[in-house]
Amino acid sequence: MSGQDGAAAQSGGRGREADAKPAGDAVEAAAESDASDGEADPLVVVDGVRTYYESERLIGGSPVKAVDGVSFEISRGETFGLVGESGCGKTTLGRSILQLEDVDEGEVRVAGTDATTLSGYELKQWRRDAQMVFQNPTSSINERMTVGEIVREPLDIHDEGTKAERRERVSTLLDRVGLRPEHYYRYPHQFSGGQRQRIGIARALALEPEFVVLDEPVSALDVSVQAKVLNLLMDLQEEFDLTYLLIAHDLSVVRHVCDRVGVMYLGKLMEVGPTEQLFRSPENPYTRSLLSAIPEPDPDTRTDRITLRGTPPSPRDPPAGCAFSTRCPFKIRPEEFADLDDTLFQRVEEFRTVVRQQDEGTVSVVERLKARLGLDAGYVSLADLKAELFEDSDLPAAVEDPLDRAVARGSEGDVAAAREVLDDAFGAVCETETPEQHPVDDGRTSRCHRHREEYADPAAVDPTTDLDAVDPNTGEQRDGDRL
Amino acid sequence: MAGHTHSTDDRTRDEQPHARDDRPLSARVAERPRPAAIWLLGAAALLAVELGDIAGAVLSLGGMAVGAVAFSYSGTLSVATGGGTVGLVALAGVVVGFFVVGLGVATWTRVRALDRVTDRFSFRTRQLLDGVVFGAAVALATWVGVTAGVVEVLAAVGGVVQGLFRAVADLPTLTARETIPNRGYQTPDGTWHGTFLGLAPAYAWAVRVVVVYGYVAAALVWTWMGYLWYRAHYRRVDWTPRDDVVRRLRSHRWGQFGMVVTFLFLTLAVFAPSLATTTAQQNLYEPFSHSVTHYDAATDSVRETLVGTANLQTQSEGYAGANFGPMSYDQYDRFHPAGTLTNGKDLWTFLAYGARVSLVIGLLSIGVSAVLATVFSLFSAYYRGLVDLVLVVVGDTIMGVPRLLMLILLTVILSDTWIAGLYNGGILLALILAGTGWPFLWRSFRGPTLQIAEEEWVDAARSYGQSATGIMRLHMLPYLVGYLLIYSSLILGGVILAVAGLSFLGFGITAPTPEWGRAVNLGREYVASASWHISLIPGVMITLVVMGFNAMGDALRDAVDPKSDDGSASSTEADARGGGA
Amino acid sequence: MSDPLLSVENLRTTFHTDQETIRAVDGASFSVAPTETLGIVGESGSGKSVTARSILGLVEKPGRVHPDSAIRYHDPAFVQRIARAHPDATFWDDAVDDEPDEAFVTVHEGEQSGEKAVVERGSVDLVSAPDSVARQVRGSEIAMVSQDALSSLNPVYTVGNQIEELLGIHRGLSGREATETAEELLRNVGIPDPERRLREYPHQFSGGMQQRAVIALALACDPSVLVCDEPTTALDVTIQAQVLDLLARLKREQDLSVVFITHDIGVIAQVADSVAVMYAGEVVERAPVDRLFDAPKHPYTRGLLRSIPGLATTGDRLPTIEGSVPTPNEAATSCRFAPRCPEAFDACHEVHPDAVRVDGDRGSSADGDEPAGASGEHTAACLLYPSSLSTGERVERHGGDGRSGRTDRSSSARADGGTATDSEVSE
Repeated sequence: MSGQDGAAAQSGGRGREADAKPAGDAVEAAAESDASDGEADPLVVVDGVRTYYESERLIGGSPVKAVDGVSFEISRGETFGLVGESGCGKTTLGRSILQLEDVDEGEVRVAGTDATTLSGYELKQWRRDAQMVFQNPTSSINERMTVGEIVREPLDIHDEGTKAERRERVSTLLDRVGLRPEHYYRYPHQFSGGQRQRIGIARALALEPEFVVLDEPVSALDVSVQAKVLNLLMDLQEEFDLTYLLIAHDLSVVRHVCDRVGVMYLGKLMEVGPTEQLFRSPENPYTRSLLSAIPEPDPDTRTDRITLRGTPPSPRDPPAGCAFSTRCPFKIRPEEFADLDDTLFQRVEEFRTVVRQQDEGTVSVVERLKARLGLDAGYVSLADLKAELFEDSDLPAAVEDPLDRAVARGSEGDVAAAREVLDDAFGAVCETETPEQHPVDDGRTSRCHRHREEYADPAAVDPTTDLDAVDPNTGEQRDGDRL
Repeated sequence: MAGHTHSTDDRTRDEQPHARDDRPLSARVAERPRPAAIWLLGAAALLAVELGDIAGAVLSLGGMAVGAVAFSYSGTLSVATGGGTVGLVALAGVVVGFFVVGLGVATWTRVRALDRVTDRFSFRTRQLLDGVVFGAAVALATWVGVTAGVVEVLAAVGGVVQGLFRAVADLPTLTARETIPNRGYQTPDGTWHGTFLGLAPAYAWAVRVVVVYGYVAAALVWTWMGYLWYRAHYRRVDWTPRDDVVRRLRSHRWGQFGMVVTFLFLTLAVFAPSLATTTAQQNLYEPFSHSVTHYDAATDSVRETLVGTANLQTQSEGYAGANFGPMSYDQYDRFHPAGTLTNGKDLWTFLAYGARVSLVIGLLSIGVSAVLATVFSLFSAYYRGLVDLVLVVVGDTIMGVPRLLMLILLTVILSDTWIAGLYNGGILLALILAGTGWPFLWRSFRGPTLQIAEEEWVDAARSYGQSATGIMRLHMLPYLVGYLLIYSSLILGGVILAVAGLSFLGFGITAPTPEWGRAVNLGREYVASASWHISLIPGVMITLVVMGFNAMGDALRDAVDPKSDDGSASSTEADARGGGA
Repeated sequence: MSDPLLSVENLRTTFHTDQETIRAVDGASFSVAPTETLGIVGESGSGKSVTARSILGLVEKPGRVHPDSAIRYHDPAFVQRIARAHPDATFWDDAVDDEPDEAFVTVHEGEQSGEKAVVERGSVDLVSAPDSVARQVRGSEIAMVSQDALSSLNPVYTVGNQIEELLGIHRGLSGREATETAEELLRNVGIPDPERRLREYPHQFSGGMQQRAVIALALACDPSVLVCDEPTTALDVTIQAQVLDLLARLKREQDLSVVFITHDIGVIAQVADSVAVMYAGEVVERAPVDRLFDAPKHPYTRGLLRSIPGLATTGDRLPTIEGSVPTPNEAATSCRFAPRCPEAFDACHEVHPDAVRVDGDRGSSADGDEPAGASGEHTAACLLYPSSLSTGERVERHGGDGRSGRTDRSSSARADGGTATDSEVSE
């Protein structure tokens, strides 16, 4: 095919540095594609990156810690997947790596150069090596320009060759991503979503980058179109010797395409490791919960799912200690409650969640006043909450005592104090200390206190969900669906 | 036969490959020469008829430009060599000027002179040094040229060119008033002397009006045909977003009304000398330097009277004996399509030339406002933060002051400066209107521009290194143009009203410059009398013109908005898919 | 065999615009039994969302549900109520399903006694019923949960306000009673501290909580059928798990039937009891869920299941289906999937397949006379089935049958079954 010939000629003669580089690259890539960890001169090094969004208030207000200390490496020719739910900061991390967001702390090194120190002309030159494919194919290309102009724009900006050479290159690229030559003169709005994403891919490859960040490239596309675009991306990676950072929330896509995966939660990396190992036997509690929540396309595996409680906390006010502590089913309990009934402990956690939400929430001064005066305040009082959650249960003194004290504080209107009481009584190391990244077998790290020697590994512990619990009134099974 | 379906993945509007898309325009035209040839012939014919006018216009414009250059050159030279601090400043200015020119030449030609010599400095420094080098080269070239007498050569060449143009300018044109004269006198036997084909002045004037409007309409239609033919036969792309805009405009009745009114108004303004019954010089500005020939019944002979004297005899003053209403002749054999003013001047001529004034002021003030508003909104949306804050504060301050007061105040304060002399205060008024009016436009643009700046393609452009100005020009401005056109056309009517209002109050344009508001002012006391035409006709025209511009603005707004299509395929298809994934 | 609760027969919804006619749903038939979850799966452009809106009567101009379609609601109590209110429009017949034109209520078992009619088995056809009847159904009998929760909730009113408004309209509650009922509803969908939440605005809720609030709204009037149009597509995986668990519990507690529409095969596997696969406006395969995953019959279903990354065999390339979903503009005279089908043969481009039982399903029946879409059956609209017949017999079986309302110009129309003539061409 002429397209492939052209592409081969292109990659064979890059014209920028010495011509020996492509051959050398191929050898290196072959050697390192087998390596599962980032040893021997990784292409991309992310080191302690922190990106905060300033709060919008003029005075006070806490910043949103979108990315809160992330470090990892990507080898040349590798595909590194970054997954997490919405709000975890993966998109911000991708953008920070490409210097589209200002990095507050940390370094991002691509091929040895620290991009965070660059600006102006040097930054513009650096951008030739690192490009991005955006998520939304409709809004990431300018509809007022023709396809040819869109793909040619990076070449125009960096003054690559003559006009005719640029046109030639654009035609080659269009052919390579599966579009027809006459599409050069068409407008994007005449194309489907999948084709528009191809235009975006062609544009990203125009400057022959080494490193491409793919920000959810297929999530806006249909399932069958997804498959085609993914195939295309993999072909292009092989042909042009690209290194990918794939940001996605669809774990099955990540499993299929990526060599290594990093799982993010609330701005921190929870687990990093080779894909197959991570999917088959996840070490980190969050990864385990995430993977078990994916609906398997197999009707027989319906039952053993871990359903997480609650919603992720706000990145503006992350919990002290481990970010996942508010929802973790493998949370380390304080010594005295180690043998407490799972259901009971979960109820206590629910109580604490409501108290925490009330403390952080929008309870106004008027409402608090009403509560002090014993009037109907419009939110549940802690006494009522306790009655509702623990109505029939037999509470051991160690549990009941702090609960009562919290209720007493609550009735005085001091919800913050109630929260403190509960934190003191029921909190353990997960809520006070931030866990480190512990190396767990070959090339994998996981951020959890349970990897410390004094605690049991997460793999050895059963999750605290009341899936097996039976409702005492009706005798029916309760599902863990309460927030 | 298989059911006809569209495959959405590969759907484009034209499924056939365009082999011809790659060739340059000349090749495409050569393939199909007929439409182009026909159009060019027609265009040539239309141009030939008006060649004299066009040449004359070029001549005057060129003369102004050359005069400006010469003035600045000699002026700077004398000041610079004059010595003293002023001289030094001027000299510094000249040096800086050369440097800027050099920098411009360096970036434009992309010649990196210093790159070849040394690699040591950073890119920025190298750019500046390039600028210095080129600036010095340009300065040297200029000095050599001047001493070698290039200026004289240029002057000689200019003189030749000027002579050529003058010769062409003397050619007769179709729309000139001399071609179809309407001034003459009538002898007792009923024949008219001096008018076109011996017709009565009214008819002669009507014929000329028809000819002028006909010509302009024909030229517009021919241009439109040319665009359609180009689109059908020669355009490289088979569809652009503008095609949708055109399609929507075609069915917009209210907008078409607006376009008709605008067409009438613009032709009136541009062709005022031809459409008026007499010239402004004669009737308005220097009535006592011109004379009119007429048949005097009293002495039974053909006499010449000064126009000024004639005007004094033809004043409309509100009662039957002293009133010259619309479509009337006066005793000097002059035809007044709209009657005369209180000072006897012809109202129609007044209105025709007044249209020019309104147009110039309107366009100038809108133009300046729009440029300011666009630039500010682009910068404030792109950079946000402090820039935006400062602009908002400044804009709000200007908006906060009552505009009429500001206008009056500034007009009075600046009435003695040299700018006030231009166009009898017209330019000054336009600039003041622009200066007080840009915040309103800017505020209207700021919202949409902020939205555009948030779009992902702007981010994408940043990611491959596009510069700030590049992003503003390529990725933000095209989306702003729609709003620009719409708001500008809506405001244009307002500007005309404002100027008219000011003139009515006596602050705007000074006499004897014609302006519609002044006419309304003059006829103020006679509205209920026999001379109602003095106020009413200009008033109606103002209303119509403003309405017309508003209608056009409406049409443009609807046309540019892609969502204004009712039942367009894309929106219904989304519905047909349940609006979801 | 007991009646289904909701049955859709030959649903056709068309959108007429100046530029083109889009037959978004073109002859879909399926049914939902009481307390069953029917999953409808398909890609975008398959017509599944329009199906949901057609069931609820939410299709607006330029869209139109063809009057020949039938959407029958079989709840006896409701049918009885309507039969009493509209005695002239009630057709009493225990044998025949088709009613004469003016009647929209059909009773199969019951006593006809005017105002005091008793109905034990019957149905109301929502397509031909007047708007007053349809409005009684919407919300109180059949409720809908749609994809974008934030657009179902009015951002300028508090959540409590909206729930109480609904309770006021449909159940006549107001004041203290309405507020308490609203609290109970929110608590029931797992939102803690509902008193506070009622006073909050939708944008103060997280995504998962918004969806729960919408579910609470949908269940406010105790419907029998819940239609969910991609309710979890926009949610994170862990929140999705919560919402699916919630739906399972509510279904159990309130004896709901659920129609669950999605493009996510994984969710279907977890949630549905039986599945209908839609393609280009038609139902191409219908089966109990485990049957569908174990032995998918229709080539499209097979291709779909293969192209999911999770199920794919590890290899570098994902198998894909060539081409893309067409937008149907005209009546189908051939198999719509044929241009992309790897197993297509000549007849596929000429004959439009009907939904037939595939063999191996409770004994082979060469005629397959039972109406397609009955629960528990495995049907596929493909010329490869019923596999026990020869190719020629199969083609004849699909081609000659005019029951679906499309007259095949090449073969003669049979006297039985064929009712409507094809008048779409002139539209």
